[in-house]
Amino acid sequence: MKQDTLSMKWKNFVESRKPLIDDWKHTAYLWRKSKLTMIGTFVIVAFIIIAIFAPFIAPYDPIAQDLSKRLQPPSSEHLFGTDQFGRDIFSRVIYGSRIAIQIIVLVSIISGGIGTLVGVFAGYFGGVVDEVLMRITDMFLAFPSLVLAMAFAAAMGPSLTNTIIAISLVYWTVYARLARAEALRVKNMEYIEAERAMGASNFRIIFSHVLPMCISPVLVQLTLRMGTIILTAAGLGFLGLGAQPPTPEWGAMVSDGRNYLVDQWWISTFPGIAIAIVVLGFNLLGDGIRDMLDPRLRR
Amino acid sequence: MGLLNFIIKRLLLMLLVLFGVLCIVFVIANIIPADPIGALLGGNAPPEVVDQYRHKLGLDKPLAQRFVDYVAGVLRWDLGVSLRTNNPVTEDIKKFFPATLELAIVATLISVSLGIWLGTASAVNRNKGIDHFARIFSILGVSMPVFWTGLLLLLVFYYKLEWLPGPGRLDIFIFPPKTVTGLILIDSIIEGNWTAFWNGLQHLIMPAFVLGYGATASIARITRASMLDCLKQDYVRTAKAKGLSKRLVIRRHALRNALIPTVTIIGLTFGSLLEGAVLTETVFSWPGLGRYITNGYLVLDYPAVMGGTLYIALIYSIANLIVDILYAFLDPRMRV
Amino acid sequence: MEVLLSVKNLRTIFHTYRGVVKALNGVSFDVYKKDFLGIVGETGCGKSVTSLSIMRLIEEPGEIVEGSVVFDGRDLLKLSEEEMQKVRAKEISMIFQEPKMALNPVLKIGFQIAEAISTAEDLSIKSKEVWEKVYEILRAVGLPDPESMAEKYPHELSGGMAQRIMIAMGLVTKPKLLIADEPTSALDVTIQAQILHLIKELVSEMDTTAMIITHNLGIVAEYCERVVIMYAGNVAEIGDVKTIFKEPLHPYTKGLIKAVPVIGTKGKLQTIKGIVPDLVNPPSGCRFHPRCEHAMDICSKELPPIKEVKTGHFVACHLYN
Repeated sequence: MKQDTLSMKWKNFVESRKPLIDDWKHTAYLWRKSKLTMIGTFVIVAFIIIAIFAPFIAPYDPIAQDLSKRLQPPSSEHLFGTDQFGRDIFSRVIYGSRIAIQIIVLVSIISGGIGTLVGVFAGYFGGVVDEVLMRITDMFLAFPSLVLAMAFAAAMGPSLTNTIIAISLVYWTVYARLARAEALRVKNMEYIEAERAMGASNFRIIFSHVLPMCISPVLVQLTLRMGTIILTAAGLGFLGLGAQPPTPEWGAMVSDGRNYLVDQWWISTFPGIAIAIVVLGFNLLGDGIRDMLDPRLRR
Repeated sequence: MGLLNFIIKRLLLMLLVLFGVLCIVFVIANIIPADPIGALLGGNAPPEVVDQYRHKLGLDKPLAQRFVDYVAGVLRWDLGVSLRTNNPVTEDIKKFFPATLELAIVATLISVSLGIWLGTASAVNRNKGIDHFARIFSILGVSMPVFWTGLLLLLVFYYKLEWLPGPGRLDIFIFPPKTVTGLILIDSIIEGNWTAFWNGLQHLIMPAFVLGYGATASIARITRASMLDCLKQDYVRTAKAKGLSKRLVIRRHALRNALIPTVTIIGLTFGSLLEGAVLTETVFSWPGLGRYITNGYLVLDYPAVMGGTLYIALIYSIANLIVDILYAFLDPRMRV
Repeated sequence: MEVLLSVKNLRTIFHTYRGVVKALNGVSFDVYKKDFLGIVGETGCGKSVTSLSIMRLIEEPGEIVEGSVVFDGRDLLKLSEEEMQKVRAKEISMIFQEPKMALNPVLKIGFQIAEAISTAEDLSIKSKEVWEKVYEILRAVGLPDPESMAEKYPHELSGGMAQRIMIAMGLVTKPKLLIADEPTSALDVTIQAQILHLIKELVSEMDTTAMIITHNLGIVAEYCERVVIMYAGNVAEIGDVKTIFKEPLHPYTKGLIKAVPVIGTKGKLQTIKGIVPDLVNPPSGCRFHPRCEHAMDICSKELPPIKEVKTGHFVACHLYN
C-alpha cells in the first residue's frame, strides 16, 4: 500500500518534470549527434587531467637547466627536444597546462564576477545607474581587447598575476551586458513584484532572486570565452608583457624559440601546438554548446 | 529621416565613448604605478637628470593639470612627442598606420570572402562531409595563435622553401613608391611601379593570410547560422516552389538575407584584426602601428603608447559606427 | 474524367530525436483535370506534407520513402532535380499559408513575380515582356496601380495584399495545377472570402486545376467540388462535396461534420472524443480505431484498404468491406 503511493508520487514527480527531462534528453541527443562537440569535450577533459597530474606525467623538472643538453632535437629521451637552457620542452609544455588553467579559472572568476555584479546593478536599478554603468562598459568595449590588455599589463608591470588582472579588466564587459539583459527581464516578473510588495529590500531581491537567474547565461558565455582567454594570455606572453621566465607559459615559450626558429624549430613549435589543441577543444565545445542552446537550430 | 536621426544619435554616443576612452588611457598611463623615467634612463641615473626629465615630460605638474593639458592637446591633434623616436606621436602614427591599414584591409577581404564561402557551404550541406570540413577548417583558424602560425609560415615558406619574401613590406633593394596614400599597393599603381607592386603583394600574402584566417571562423559561424535560419524560412520554400535552381535559391534568396547579420560581425572582425595586427606585425617585422605600440610598451614610451592606443580605439569605433549605419541601410525593414 | 495527378501509396517520414514520425502512411487519391479539390483534416494529419511531397519540397530530416506521384503521365518522384525544377517552374504552382512570410523581405515584389515568369519561360528578368506580364497579373488579382505596387517591399503590404501577390506569382505562369496550402488561415475572416473567390475565379478563367488544403470544412462546402478527408497520415474518404456532406460513410467524416457549429441550432456542440494520435507510435491497423465508436477486432489489426463504394465515392473503413 505504502509502496503504491510512493511509486505514484514518483510517477507524478517524473510526469511534472517531463518537459525538463525531455529537454535534457534532447540536449544529450544533440551532443551525441555532433562528433565535433564530443571531440572538444574529450580534449578539454584530457587537458584538465594532464594539468592535475602534471608532476606524474612530466619526466623532468620544467625549470631545471642543463646546459650540457641544450638545443637537442626531439628524441626518445626528450620527446619534444630541449631549449637553449637544456630544459625539457615536453615537461615545460605539460606544466604549461597548469599555468593555462590557472589563468582561465582566475580570469573567469574575476571577470565573470565583476561583470555579473555590474550588469545586475545596472539592469535592476535602471535609470541613471544603468546609463552610467553601461556607458562605462561601452568605453571598455571601444578598445580591441588585446590592445587594452597590453595597456593594463604594461602599466602594472609584466607578471603572471598582472596578466590575469589585465585580462579580467578587459573581459568583464561581455558578462555585464549579458547579466544586465537578464536582470531587466527578471526584475519585471510577477514574483519579484510580489517580493517587493511584501517589503523585501532591494539588496535581498538582488541577491536571492535576480543574481541567481543571471548566473546560467553568464556561465555559458564564460565557457565560450575560455579559448579566447588562453589566446590573449599567450599573446601577452609572446610580446613579453605576460608571465616572465622561467615560468613555463606557452606564449612565452613560443617567443623563446623565435631566435632559434630556422635550425631548432621544435622550441617554438610544440608549445604552439599545445595552445592550438587546447583552444581548438574549447572552441569545438563552445560551438557545440551554442548550437545546442540555439532555439533556431534545436529542431 | 529615421536613419539620419539614428546616425546623429550614434555619433554623439561615439564622442562620449571616445572621451571615456581618453580617460581610461590617461588613467592607465598616469595613475597605475610604473616608472617611465626609470625605464628610460635605467635605475642608476643621477637625481638631477631624473628631475630634468620629469619636468620635460610634464610629470612634475599635478595630475589634474596634466589631464587638462592632455585633453587640450588631443583636441588640437597633438599627442606629445615619442620618447623613443623623438618625433611627434601624430607624425609617427601618420607614418606607421598606413602599413597596418593595408594589412588589415587585405586581411578583411580574405576573411570575409573565405568566411562567407565556408559558412554558406557549411549551411547548404549541413551535417555532411563539407560541413564538417569547413567547420574544422575555420575553427582551426581561430584556435591557432597568430604569432605561432606566422612563425611556422615564415619557417616553411621563407626560410625552407624560399617561395615568399620574409619580414617587412618590401625587399630592401626595391625602391619604394612615392608616398601618396601610404598603401604600397595603391601608391605603386599610381606611380606605375610594377616591381614594387608585385614585391609588396608578395610581402603581404603571409601576414594578411595569417591575420585573415584567424578572423574567418566568426564570419563563417555567423554566416552558417543565419544561412541555416534563412534556408528554413518560408520565402526560400517559395523560391524553390517557383522552380528556381538551387544555386539561385541560395544566392538570390537565402544569402541576401543571411548576410545582414554577417555585416555586423565584419565590424568586430576589423577590431580583432587590429589586435591581431599587434602580434602579426611583431612576427613579420611589419612597420605598422601595432608594432609601434608594442615597442613603445617595452620601454614605457608613454606618449607613443597613449597616442597609438587612442588612435586604434578611434579607428575601431569608427568601423563599428559604419557597420551600424550599413546595417540600418541594408535591411529595408529598418529604413522606414 | 481525365486524371491529371495520381498519388499512389505515398509514404513520407521524418527522422526526429523521438524516433521516426510516419507522417504519410500510404496516401492515394486522384486529381482530375479542372477539378477544384479540397483536402481536409485536422492539424498534423499530413495535408501539408502531402502537398510538399507532390512538389518534392520535403526537406531533411523528412524523406519520401515509397509511392508514386504521376502527373500528366510522368512519375514526379522519378524525375531528376533539374526536371523537377522545370515542373515547379511551369506546371505546378503553390501558394502558402503565411503570405507575408512566404515573400522575400529584401526583394521588391515586382521582382519576385518577374522571377517566376523568367524562370518558367526562360526570359531575361529585365525584359519588357516579363514586366508587362507582371503588371497585367497584378491588375488581374485586383491590385490598383501595378507600377507602384511592383516597387514595394513585402513589409509594406497587408496580409490580404500579400496573398494576392502570392496568387499572382502562382498563376502568372499559367500552371496546370495550383496547390493552395491553407491560403486563408492567416487572414481576417472578411478577407478570406475575397481571396477564395479570387482563386476560384482566376482558376476557372484559366481553365486550370486547383487543390485547396484546409482544416475548414466551411470552405470546402462553399468552394470545392470534390474533397479528400485525411486522418493521421491516411486518406479516410474521397467523394464529391454534396455526397460527403449528405451521406458521409467514414466514422471520422461523420464526426467532423457533426463538429461543425451550425448557426440557429441549439444544444451542445459535438466533438470527436480522444486526441490526434502520436505519429511516432501510431495505433496499429486503422489509425482512427481508438477513437471510433464502431471499432471491431479487425480495426486494430489491419489497415483498411481504400475502396470505391459508389461511383466516385471512396472510403477506407472496415465497416464497408
